[in-house]
Amino acid sequence: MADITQMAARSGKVIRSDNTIVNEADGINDDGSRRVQLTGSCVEEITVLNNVTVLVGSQYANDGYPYLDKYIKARALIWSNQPYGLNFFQSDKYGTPESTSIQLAQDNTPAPTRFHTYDLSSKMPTVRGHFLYKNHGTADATLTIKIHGQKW
Amino acid sequence: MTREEVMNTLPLINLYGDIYINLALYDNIITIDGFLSMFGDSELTYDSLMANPNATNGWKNQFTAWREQGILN
Repeated sequence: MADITQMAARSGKVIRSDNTIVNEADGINDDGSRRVQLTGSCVEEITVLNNVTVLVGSQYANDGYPYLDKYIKARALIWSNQPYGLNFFQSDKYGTPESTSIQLAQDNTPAPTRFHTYDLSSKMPTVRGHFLYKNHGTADATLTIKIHGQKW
Repeated sequence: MTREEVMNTLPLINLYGDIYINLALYDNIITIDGFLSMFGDSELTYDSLMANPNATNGWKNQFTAWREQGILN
């Protein structure tokens, strides 16, 4: 059996499974730093709410996502069968809500079922806070919210 | 109904510095103005609220819960 520790170092090509050749510059930024991309295997899903009822004209408040600060990127996935407004309130490091809110979404179109995704990290760098969902429809709403996050 | 009647009768909750009516049956909240805009033409009684055209099944369940808790007559 060949002993690789006795082999001379030499250059070579790395071939991907689809027979394309790896470019040595792949993953290198202009400043020389390396670029690393996380894949789907790191994505976690948190079900924040599952089929809760929100009466017409009323609101549902959630007290935040205590685990989201472990994510480098997070998306909110919203299912609502009624038009709605959704505000996220950023919290400070102690979890105290700040008075200013970020209107993340408002959908008043009369579609029967809605599914939207929102990139929280682009809106809220800390991705920590709470939300206020308001049912703008004409009937009681069913609401589901999930969070997809990529871990550090 | 008047704002004063609402504030003296229905359960309130202070959330993020604002006062809301607490719809505990569904863990929902609504502003006093929002409630008045929907049900302000009714009297603050069970029968009157149940007869309001804005009373969906969910709202009727909440009104019934308030009556069972002695909040509404």
